[in-house]
Formats: sequence, structure tokens, C-alpha cells
Amino acid sequence: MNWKVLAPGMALLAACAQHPQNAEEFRQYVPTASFGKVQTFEANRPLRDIAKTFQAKAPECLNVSVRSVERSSTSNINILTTYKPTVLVSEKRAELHVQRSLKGNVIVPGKPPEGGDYFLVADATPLDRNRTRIDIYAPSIGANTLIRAVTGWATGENVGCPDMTKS
Amino acid sequence: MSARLVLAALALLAAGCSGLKTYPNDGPKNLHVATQTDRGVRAALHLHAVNGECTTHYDGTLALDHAALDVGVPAGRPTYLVVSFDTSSFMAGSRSTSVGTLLTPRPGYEYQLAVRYKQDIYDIALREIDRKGVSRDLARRPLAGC
Repeated sequence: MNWKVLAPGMALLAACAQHPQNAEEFRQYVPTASFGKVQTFEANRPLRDIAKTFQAKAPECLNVSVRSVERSSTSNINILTTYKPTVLVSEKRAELHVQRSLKGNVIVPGKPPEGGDYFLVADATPLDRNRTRIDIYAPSIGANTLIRAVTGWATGENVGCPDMTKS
Repeated sequence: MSARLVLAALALLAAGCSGLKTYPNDGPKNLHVATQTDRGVRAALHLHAVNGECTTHYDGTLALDHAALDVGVPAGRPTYLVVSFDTSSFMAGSRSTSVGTLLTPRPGYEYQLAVRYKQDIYDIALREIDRKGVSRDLARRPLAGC
């Protein structure tokens, strides 16, 4: 058996051993996970502006599917990754949830939640009228582009879309 | 046959098999494209005519390999503009991502398309400029809403 075939499967088995079923479970899970990371920073923008940016950019940039294909003499990988963003806004908080589901020749043990496994959760809570605290829960590997994009949306410094083929 | 000739022949073969054709770009130039990309990123603009039933007809492609490019887009009918970004590396292989928007140019108006791909984050911004020089941003319009 080829290691190139085994390695992604083993990584997935490890990553998917637990499936947080909602955003709150994901928030609890990430700080304890080996490959989880919580980033916190302050944005010099009011909560309502950040909420508007999340509402505009998430559907525009994150309703995407990415097909990964690798063919060689020893492996044949063909995986379709579909991302699903959700934005929840209240007077006290704005939340961005990003889920992703995998289809193709990949084994996902256990039961992922509806819409796919949680991949990133970003919470925006007001510090005062013009400053907002941002908490981003995400994997420490493989989500850098998405985290940078969400950071740009929160600060307003870069409202571009992440190239999800790089996430 | 020299290695360079073989490479050129392979490149021609690849171009011929890709299904892409060069956009004629022979109309009045009403779309001015400004491109900023990281080194190694190949950007291209693909133009598709859209008919009344929202079906598309591929008109052709222009490489966005210069900072500025003027394009003639037929006025008075919708065109679906697709910007693609291609990257490739030895370790990561080839990757491609694209973003599209509908545009129905108005006669006598000018349009600016800013295309940007920096550090794996991309953006396209479309502006309409009237005869008096007054401009406004145009929101991205998906093909589904044509």
C-alpha cells in the first residue's frame, strides 16, 4: 500500500475523530485540539460595520466548491470540498461560521453535522462604540488564507476573497 | 529537434487543446482593466455573451499579463465577465480559481475593472463612468440573476 494514499486518509481519520455538531461545540473543541488555534484581536470598527462586511463577503466569497485532483502511477485522489458560510447577527454579536464537506474517494468516519464539519468560527463582540473584539477559531494548519481574509473583513483593511484552493 | 522547439510544439499543442480562444477585441474600447497580481499568478479575462434565456456563448479570452488592458465589450447586451487566476508550483501542483460578474455596458459609458490577486486573496471591482466623468461602483452580479 502506498503511503501517499494512506497518509491523507490517516490525517482525516485523526481530524474527524470528533465532529463538533454546532458552533458552540466547535468553540469548545478548538482550544483543546492538537491542530486548533484561537486568535483574538481588536478591530477599530463598530460591530455593525463588521457585521455588514461579514454579510456581504461571506456569501460572495465562501459559497464555493474546490475540486482536488491528483493522479499518478501510485495514487488517484479526487475530492470535492464544498464550503458553506453562515452569518448570524444580533445587537450584541456577529458570528461567521464556515462549514465544509468532502465528497469523492475519501473516508470520513463518524457523523458530520448538517452542512459539513465546522472549519472556522469568527465572533465579533463590541468593546465600545468604535472598537470590536474578534475571536477566530480555526485549524492551525490549512486555514491561513481564510483566516487572513476574515481578518481583513473585520479590520476593513482588505475585503478581498480568499483563494479557497489555498485553504 | 532542439529542446526549445519541442517545448514550443508542446505549448502550442496545450494551447490548442485547452479550448480557449483569443477574444477578438475589435470593438470600441469601453472596458479598462487594471491588473495587479503576485509573481507567478496568471490572470485572464474570459468573455461570454449572454442571451435572453441566460445561456452563454463563449466569445474568447484575453490574458491579463500587463498592468493595463483596454477591451471592447458590446454595448446594450449582457456579457458575463469571468476573471481566472492560475497558479502552479512544483510542490502544490496547478490551481485555478475564478470569479464572474454580469455587465451590460451602456452606450457612451466607460467601465473600469480592477483585478487584484495578492498573497492568495483576490478582488475584482467594477466601476461605471458616465459622459460627465461621474463614476459609481457596480456590485458583482452572478449569472444566476441575469
